[in-house]
Amino acid sequence: MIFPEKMIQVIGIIPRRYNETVTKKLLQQGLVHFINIHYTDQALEEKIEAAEAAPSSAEAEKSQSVSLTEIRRRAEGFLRMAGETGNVQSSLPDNIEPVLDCAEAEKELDRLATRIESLRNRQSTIQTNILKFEDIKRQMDLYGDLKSTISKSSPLSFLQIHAGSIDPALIDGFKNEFAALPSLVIEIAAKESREKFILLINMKRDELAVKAIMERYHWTDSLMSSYKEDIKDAAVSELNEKITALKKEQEKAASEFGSILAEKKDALVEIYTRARLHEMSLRVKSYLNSTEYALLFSGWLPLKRQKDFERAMQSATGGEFYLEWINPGEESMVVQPATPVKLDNPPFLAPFEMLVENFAIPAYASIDPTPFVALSYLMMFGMMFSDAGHGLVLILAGLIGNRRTKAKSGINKLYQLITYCGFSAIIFGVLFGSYFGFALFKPLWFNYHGIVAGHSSGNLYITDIYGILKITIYFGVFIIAMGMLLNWINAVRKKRWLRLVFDKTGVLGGWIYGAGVYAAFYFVSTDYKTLPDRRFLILMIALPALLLFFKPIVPLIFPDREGKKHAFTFSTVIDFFMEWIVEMLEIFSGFLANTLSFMRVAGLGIAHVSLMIAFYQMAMMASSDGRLGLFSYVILLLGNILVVLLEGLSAGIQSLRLNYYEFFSKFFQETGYRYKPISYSSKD
Amino acid sequence: MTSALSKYAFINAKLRARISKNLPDDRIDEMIKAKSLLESIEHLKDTPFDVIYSVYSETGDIRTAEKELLKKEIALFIELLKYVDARTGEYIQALALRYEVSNLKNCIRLFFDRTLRGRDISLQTPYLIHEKIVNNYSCDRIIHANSPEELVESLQDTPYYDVVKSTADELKETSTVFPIEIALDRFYYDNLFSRLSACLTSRDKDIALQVFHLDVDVENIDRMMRFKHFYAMEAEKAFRYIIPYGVVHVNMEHFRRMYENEDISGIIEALMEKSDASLKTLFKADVRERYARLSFIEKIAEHILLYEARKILFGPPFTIGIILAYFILKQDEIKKIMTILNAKNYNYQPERISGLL
Repeated sequence: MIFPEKMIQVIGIIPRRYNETVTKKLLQQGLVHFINIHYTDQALEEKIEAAEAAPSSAEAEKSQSVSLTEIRRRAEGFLRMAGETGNVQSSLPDNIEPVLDCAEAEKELDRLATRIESLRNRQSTIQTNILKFEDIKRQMDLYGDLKSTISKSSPLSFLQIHAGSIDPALIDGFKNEFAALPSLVIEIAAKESREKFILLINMKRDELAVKAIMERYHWTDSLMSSYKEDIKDAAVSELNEKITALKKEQEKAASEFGSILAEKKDALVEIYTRARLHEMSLRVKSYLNSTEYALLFSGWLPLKRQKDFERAMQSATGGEFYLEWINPGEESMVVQPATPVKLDNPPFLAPFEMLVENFAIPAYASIDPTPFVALSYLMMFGMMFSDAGHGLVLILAGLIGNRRTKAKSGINKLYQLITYCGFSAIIFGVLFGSYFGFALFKPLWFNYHGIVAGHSSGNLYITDIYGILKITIYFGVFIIAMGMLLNWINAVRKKRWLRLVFDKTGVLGGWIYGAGVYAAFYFVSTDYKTLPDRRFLILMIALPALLLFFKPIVPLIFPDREGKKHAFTFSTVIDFFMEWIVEMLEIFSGFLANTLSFMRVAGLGIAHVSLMIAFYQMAMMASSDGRLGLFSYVILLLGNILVVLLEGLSAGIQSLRLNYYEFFSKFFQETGYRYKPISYSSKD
Repeated sequence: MTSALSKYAFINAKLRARISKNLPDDRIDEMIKAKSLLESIEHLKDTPFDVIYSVYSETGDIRTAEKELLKKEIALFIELLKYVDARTGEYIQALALRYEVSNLKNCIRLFFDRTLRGRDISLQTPYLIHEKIVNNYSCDRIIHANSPEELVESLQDTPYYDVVKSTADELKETSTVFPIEIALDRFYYDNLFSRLSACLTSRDKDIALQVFHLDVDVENIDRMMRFKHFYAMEAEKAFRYIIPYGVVHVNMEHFRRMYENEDISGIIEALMEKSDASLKTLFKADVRERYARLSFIEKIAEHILLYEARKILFGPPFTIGIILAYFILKQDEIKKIMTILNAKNYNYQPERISGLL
């Protein structure tokens, strides 16, 4: 848990005939982080390159891989349109053959695209009609008095209204002609006779076209004077009916889209899955260096899975394989790249692992700070957000969010972190006796509210704000010291002796820091009057500071890892002094700033309490008889919501900041890269 | 500082958040490479351009989707007015006028098509924006005008009356809408540059000047390309339509040489004069031999404009710069996306679409 998982490099040689079975097995197992093989001996490299199978097949596979990626993305796109993506990727089955007929899959996807596009074209035609009628309706709403516009043009309206009649047998043709224009043809029966009138509404701009149609159909104008009052109602209702009918048709067409995709969903999932599997298997094959008779590959896997891997090879080749195992840093005939890193933490630490990875991946074999971050982050958060009631709110929010998001996703881990922060807030809330800003129960440690409000803290040792500040300084010293210790462990494990001794956070730096902390507390304890005695200052501060002067000299005496000795010139002496002075300034001012930085923990905690006190006072001011009324409770509720949101965010960010800048900076000097085995469920 | 902070703090946060959601280049590439319009639009799902995806899904009509997107952008500018003082507000209105002028130009084109060319415009009219952007004018009155005189009359009591009136005769003589379109563009830039002097502090003014001179350059070069390649217009005539701002305007001789002989060396020098050193190196190498074309100059001007707009984001946060950067970057993004979608609609090949961007 404290260190990343131990890894081992494998070099495998198998007969070429097992290409397919081994590829499938490797994908199913998803254990190997493949690497390209390069030999330390250049001549050997050339010899093996010459023996490798013709590169033309590699080119073909590359172009096939591009096609597969394109097909997979298309299928994924269609599935996304159907809102189906999320589950497809994570549920890739192992039992489907990793082969896709690209041409056939493309045809299938093209057919689907054409089908949907023809549906969209139909929708577009419907939309054109809707827009035409809406344009008329807009005009009617704007210049609505139709009675005054019949057969004459109002100066404002851009509509023309005609009342008249044509041969009833020609009415359908007449309507069809007008369907192409933004117009409305309404049949109205006259009250006093069986005669039918036609009310024609069109845009004034189409006057010429309208006139031509009217002439073709022998249109006869009619006054319809006694029916004026019915005209607008009839026109509006006809328009509304038409628009409603078209919109329904549009909705139906839009819903057909869902049906088409639902009908094709299984086919799409299969195309997606096969493409994905095929892609992955080509990717594995790209790492299998092929000679005429054999396949060579190399990669990293966790040491504890070594036997599983051997068993998989056994089952794929019936025992016809040769494996060579190389430990990280071990000499061998192949060039060993940096070892990938697989952090090894229990699942409940996943949110903190996310925070660490967000900063950087620790180098292989160096300390994984995840468990330390879990502890320090939650402690810092709890001290800044110490309220049991607010903690409960965070737990609820975290649990709800956790249930609603996809397991193992980033957002899911964030909700998990919020839940943990909630528990931390409860613990510190109980220690400080704060429950939604009220002291419902006696604090187990001291009364934070009491101190901020200037009352009794209920504790003999922590009686005022300085007491709280002191706690956070102690906490800061502890975190910084822990960071230094981790740096020393890393340096020893990596055999970086120069770094162990001379680094700012090395032994000499720690020596100065420890003495500095002691001297500072001594000075404070004597009411800022006396420093520790001279012998202490010389031995504990001046001596390590002087020893640091030798930092640039050591590489001149001892060769570095590459065997290079550094040259000595006159300017080197000046460089020594300058470097030493800068180093001293950095150590003294840096450590002071780093330690005082932790006072923000107290600052935010005090702000949290102060805000709650302020809201309580506002709630009391809202009550007339000194008892909390409805309005007071509303103020308290809003106040609590505000504090949970704002302070929760601030405390979360500040805890992260303190971890990244004050803690990680002490030991996180080398970074690594993630172990990414290729499997069916690989992310990319 | 306090007033700049209070003036721009909220807008800065709001617009930066929006800029951070701009589509990444690989998404644009995927849209270009998509096999169909449908698949291209799918890449806009759950992005700030989701409105295009959802409207297209509901209507199958890409133009309705485009209209809704523009309305959304206009609404943002109108919303911004709530967060700034009156003077800065005037400047934001001057920016929003670009949408209004563009819509007005669309109305006038429809008037021209209907009245002077006798074309059916019923399929185009629903895509006009009838809602007020900055000034009140009636799209209906414009498109229903039966003569240039009626067109002028339709714009009475609007700031565009004089602009259109002064070019109405030319419209009749030349039988093109260029004179009016160019006069409207000039009106937009004149208004913008005059607001710039009146409304902004000297720091804000410097930022705005730098960006909008480049913006005018892009506009001028684009116009010259159309004049030369689509209309084979004489230089003398084409240069009458230059918007009188920007590098191109002050380096007219270089530009004339470029227009007539496609010798672009002088104009490149002029464009690069105030630009970043890294850009100078980028475009210096063998430009004459390899890209003696007007379109290359347009690309350079666009590139510099976007570069300067992005550079603003790294400058002081509480200035007008953020609004300008957003405006320029968003315009470019919308233009890119709509070009891709329209090209997809016409089944253009990816290579051709890339050439259009």
